[in-house]
Amino acid sequence: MNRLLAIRGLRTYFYTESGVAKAVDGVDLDIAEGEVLGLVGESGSGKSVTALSILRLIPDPPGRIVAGEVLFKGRDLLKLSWDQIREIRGNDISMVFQEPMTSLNPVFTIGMQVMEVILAHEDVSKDEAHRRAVEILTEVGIPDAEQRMNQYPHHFSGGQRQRVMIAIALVLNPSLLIADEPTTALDVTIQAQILDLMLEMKARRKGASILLITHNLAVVAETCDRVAVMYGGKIQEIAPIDALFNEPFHPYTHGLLGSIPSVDGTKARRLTVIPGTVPDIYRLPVGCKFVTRCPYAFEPCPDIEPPLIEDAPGHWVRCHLYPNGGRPAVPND
Amino acid sequence: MKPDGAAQRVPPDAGTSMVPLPEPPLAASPQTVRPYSGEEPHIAEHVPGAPESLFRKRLRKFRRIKRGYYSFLVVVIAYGASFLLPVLANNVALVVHYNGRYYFPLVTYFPASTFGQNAFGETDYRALKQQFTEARQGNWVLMPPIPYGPNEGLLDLSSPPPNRPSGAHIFGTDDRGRDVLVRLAYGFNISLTFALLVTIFADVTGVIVGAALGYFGRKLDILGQRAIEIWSSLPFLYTIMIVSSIIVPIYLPGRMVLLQPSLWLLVIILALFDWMGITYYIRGEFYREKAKDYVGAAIATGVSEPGIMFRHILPNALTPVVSFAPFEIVANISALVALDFLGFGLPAPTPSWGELIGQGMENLTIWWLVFFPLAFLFLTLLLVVFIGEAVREAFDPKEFSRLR
Repeated sequence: MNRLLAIRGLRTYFYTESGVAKAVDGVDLDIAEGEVLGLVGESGSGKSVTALSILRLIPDPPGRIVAGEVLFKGRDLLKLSWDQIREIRGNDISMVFQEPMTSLNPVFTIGMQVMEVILAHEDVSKDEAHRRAVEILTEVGIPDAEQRMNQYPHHFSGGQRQRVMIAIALVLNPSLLIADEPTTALDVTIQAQILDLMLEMKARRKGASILLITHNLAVVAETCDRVAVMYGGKIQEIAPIDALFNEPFHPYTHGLLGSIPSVDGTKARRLTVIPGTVPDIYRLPVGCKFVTRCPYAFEPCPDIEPPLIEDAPGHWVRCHLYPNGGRPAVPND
Repeated sequence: MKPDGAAQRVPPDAGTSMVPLPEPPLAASPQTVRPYSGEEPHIAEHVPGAPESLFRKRLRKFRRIKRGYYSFLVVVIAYGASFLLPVLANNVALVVHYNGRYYFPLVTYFPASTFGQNAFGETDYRALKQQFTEARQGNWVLMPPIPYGPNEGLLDLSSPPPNRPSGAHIFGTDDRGRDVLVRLAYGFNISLTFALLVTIFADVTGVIVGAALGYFGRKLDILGQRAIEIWSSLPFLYTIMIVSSIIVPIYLPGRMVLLQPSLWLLVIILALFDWMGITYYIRGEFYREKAKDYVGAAIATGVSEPGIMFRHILPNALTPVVSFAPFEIVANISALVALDFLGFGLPAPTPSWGELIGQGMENLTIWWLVFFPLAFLFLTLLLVVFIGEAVREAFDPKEFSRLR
């Protein structure tokens, strides 16, 4: 498969009064054409900052992308001028945010907001923009799109607003859609609809990819082709979806999977929890970032950061338990 | 394009199709079915489901506040009518029919000799009218309903000025024999024009400065705010007095006037001292709004920086401008009155309220010079304050949101 986006050694730091927060500290990530890549991790693991860094949406100050490359179709997005990056935003790479209730401007009609993206990037007439806005709104499942173009965000429910946000994101047929927890703020039933919608829209756009950021492993299992697990600003594990769920390598992934209840009804088991809390972002461990909570931590872990190695084909992990591809001594209970 | 796949399989959540269902019985007999509600016109005017912007909603709410709305109508109609004053109250005839020809002195200037008057300079049209009526030669003069000009001293009255209110001059005349009613009416137009212009200039400046401070923040914000604080600590009334007392007509060769005291000059000077207040509000609004999700979403779709500032944030940050505007107008009317009262305002003989109040101050026993100007000022300020009160209430977003 062709590579659409390649992130290399991305470091995004936040220089605050309490110190330097290394939110993203050396992330390498590939997104292939036509794939859905999940990026999971708990709050503060750096997944949202990674996504924002791709489009250079980091608030500066306090944040700054201090190192790395984001190669998109052969161009390093981090080296583009602001005019060039603005041309990419919404056109080649677009984003859907977590909060549909507040992501639309309350003073403009829905139609104006969809048309604005078209008019910002393409030299088309207002009528043409209007026609395409109605078309995309119909496509994302807004009934009576023609009439609803003239309505304001407060006439729309949360799920419908997220549909509008998806319409705005996809109206220019971008190659990459970054969805930053697109379903977190929605009802469970609506969540499934929105995820289905995103996959359908992707399927209709040949070669389009989705980077789905979430902390919900159920969402990942349902939608993604590959998953990257983040912790402490670093990628801890990347694997195809089946491999990750059937045979997780990293102790952190074990912990994550152990903490979701299963509904297959085979046997009742106690949900495991990952002991401790996320380490202070200003004082991350020198070695493995997970060492403070890892039940398998041993001698090199606190001092030496393990490298990200390919332990099985396409299955990468950052852990000292896998020195050269051997199976870990993780008991399966 | 037909909605396929997703659109049909996934039912739209909480669609509009749900809204019209309970509507027909309500719409059929709104008065009989619905129990008492204080919000009746609110419901009646608005078609459910029809798109309505936040601004329209507020406008509708404003119209519901009767005192403010009627005050608004009165002020707007009076202000509109005051532009017709040259036709309504003037000592220049509207039409003169003389020796078979029609003359329009309002449009073109005719010296007195044009109509055979034995005088130099401007025609005395009231005298001309009397003359034509007595001569009965088919000539006639059509005068405005109130045939007195704002700057015309009526020195041929029976007693020396100021003259008591009478049938011809219902508010009397001032100490130079000028009709008080006419001067007050012209003064209304000038006061309101002046206040509106100052408010517009001050708000435009204040919004731009406040937007820049709030949007870019950091050093610009800190330095800008300190500069504003220094500037606003100047005592503006004294500064204006000094400035307007040193501005005298400067003539260039060829009778061009470079600088002279005028309405526009005073507007600019006053606006220079009046724009700071709104910057604080706009700055705060921009700080608040720029952190909101819709701004982030717009940035992520590639909207340019001016587009973010002025198209996305500004309409959401205008509430303080709109709700302060009537009170700014009140303040500016008062400022002009104060300056005119002190003699540093508009150049004489501009009809102004402050000047008339000043006359009343010097002649306290002449009640019509004290009462009528103050009454006009009071009424105007009161009406504008009523408007401001209603606007503020209509733009109040937290009308019902307080928990008990």
